Amino acid sequence: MAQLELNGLGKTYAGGVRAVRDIHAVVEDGEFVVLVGPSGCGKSTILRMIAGLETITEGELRIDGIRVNETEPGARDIAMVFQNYALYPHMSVRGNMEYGLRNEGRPRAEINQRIDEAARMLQLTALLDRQPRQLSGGQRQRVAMGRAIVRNPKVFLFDEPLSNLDAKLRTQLRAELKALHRKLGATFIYVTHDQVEAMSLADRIAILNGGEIQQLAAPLDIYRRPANRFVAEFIGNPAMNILEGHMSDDGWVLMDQGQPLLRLPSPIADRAGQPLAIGIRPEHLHPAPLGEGQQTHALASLQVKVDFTEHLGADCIVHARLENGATVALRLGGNARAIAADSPLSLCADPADLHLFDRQSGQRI
Amino acid sequence: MEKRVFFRDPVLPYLLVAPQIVITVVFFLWPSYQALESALYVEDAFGFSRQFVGLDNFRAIFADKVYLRAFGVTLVFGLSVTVLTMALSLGLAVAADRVLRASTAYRTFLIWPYAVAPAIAGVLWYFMMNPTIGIVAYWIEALSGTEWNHYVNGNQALILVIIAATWKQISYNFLFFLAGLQSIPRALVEAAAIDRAGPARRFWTIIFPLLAPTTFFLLVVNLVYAFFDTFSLIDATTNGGPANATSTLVVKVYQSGFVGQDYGASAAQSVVLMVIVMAMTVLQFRYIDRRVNY
Ligand SMILES: Nc1ncnc2c1ncn2[C@@H]1O[C@H](COP(=O)(O)OP(=O)(O)O)[C@@H](O)[C@H]1O
Ligand SMILES: [Mg+2]
Repeated sequence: MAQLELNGLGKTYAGGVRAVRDIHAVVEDGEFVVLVGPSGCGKSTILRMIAGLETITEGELRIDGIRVNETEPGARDIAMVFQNYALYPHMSVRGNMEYGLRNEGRPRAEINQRIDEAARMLQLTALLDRQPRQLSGGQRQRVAMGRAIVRNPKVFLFDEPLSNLDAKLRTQLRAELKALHRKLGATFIYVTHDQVEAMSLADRIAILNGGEIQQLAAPLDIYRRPANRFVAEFIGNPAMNILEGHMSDDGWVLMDQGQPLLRLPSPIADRAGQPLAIGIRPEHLHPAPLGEGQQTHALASLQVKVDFTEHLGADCIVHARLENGATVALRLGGNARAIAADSPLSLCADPADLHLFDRQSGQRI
Repeated sequence: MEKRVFFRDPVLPYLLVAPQIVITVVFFLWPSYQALESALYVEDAFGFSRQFVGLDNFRAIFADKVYLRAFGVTLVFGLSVTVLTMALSLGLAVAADRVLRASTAYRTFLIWPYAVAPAIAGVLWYFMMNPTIGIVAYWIEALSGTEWNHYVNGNQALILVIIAATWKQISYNFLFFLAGLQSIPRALVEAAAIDRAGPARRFWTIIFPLLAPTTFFLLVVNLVYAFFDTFSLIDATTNGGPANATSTLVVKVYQSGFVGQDYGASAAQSVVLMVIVMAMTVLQFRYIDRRVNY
């Protein structure tokens, strides 16, 4: 198993597109790291540079301390699972799984033994003599994983392996993948655009945007302390509410239309008068009974009008609108009663749950 | 998968296939019938009278040493052209597939020979290889010291028509191979690279098997081309000579019919050709189509 070091990795494609820049990360032995970000942010590019399928144009990649920038894909001792499975269509399931081992020149007995083992682990034993076209999507994905497992590589790479499957199967395979990682104890690097996959699978998540890492941390750390506004809005569903505001001279956080939001316990001196983006997660907004108006300095409070309510079973999402037109969502428990549209609502939040971002740079304050 | 289409109007489907049927009848079935009929008659040289002779024409051509030799020539010619064409065009297509994502100029360039009319291709090679004025003939003599004269040397003449026919057919093959290569998902080749297969192994274990449908299609196309579609090229280049060294079966049909004025023998030879074409078509549909379907 292996440790991976990405030292300032960057990629400029032949056409001049600088897809990825300045990627610094150390993936520990046995760690499950998920790269997540919107489409086109460079996730696949990073994964393919690690695999050796794209040349590295900047920086250095080390596997177990050894520089592998110039090493052929086959010599890096990695395995990759592709989005469209990339099963060899003219070979049986067994043929697909043994192809790599035969290229390594392993003896027949060892090949058979490894295939049997992997097939048992992935419940593929009954399918070994089928052709890929005779398999369902989920089965194909299992074969692709089996093909990776039999090689017993140092690092497993996954490029959106579940995105072609339906929701139910995705959830099931997600659990299997997590179990597989635990069983193998290998280093996994996993690319997805789905934040749920990222949150549920990862030991650490790397959030990418525009070819750069925005934040690299454990899932809950990212959720609780997003490093910048992009991360804050990317992770979480419904997305974090962002309100435009600014800091008054005496330490108040004000909404842009003047409504005072809250007083910071300790004013941030050098931010006086500066514009802010104020983030608050839907589950941190609570309705305060109207009329109890006495707003305390300890709570932030907002006056809104309800747009509509979504009952999702376990949750109830209320969409509402501020006086200045900005929309917010709040998450209530599944037992919450519907709130009529257009009814006024007073919301409060614990200041500890607010996230303040510099409005220009988007960085967390 | 069921791909049947249902029409509500009972006449429409017949109207839709009518043009194709008319073309087939006029340009294929009618001439075929005429050839079949003529093959059973002997006609006098001026075409005034003819006489029913049954299978005599067939007996005569199969007793004719020159005709039997044409079988051998056709086989050598056809197989050489097919193998050469496919090997060269596959090589070119693989090379082009690598660089093609950058430029399409290369592709256009390689398609040109296919746009050249067969007779013109023949004349082109006729001039290039001409023992007295041909530039290629000059190079061959300069480089290898062997004298090039395909007017005298039957083997050289055969080589010449093989080269000309191959050159003519490469671009067509190239296009199909290139399309075939480009339709192979890149991820498959990448997966193989990660699975420790070197470039040669990737080619023979992944790319080549996946090209099989294209390869078998081209195999049949090239054999049909070499056997039946090279008349004007051979006629323009060597005229079937010297001493029938480049007389393939199609050239023989022409020579017997239009030069020798023996319509019966010519028609009998056409019938033989027809049988061969049908056999190859059956082979393609029955055997090959099934085998390469993965
Ligand atoms: N082969 C390529 N040549 C040029 N640009 C590319 C190539 N592959 C990807 N890109 C560009 O690089 C950026 C990142 O692509 P990619 O890594 O595939 O993103 P993701 O996997 O996150 O969706 C995109 O802007 C994409 O257009
Ligand atoms: Mg991608």
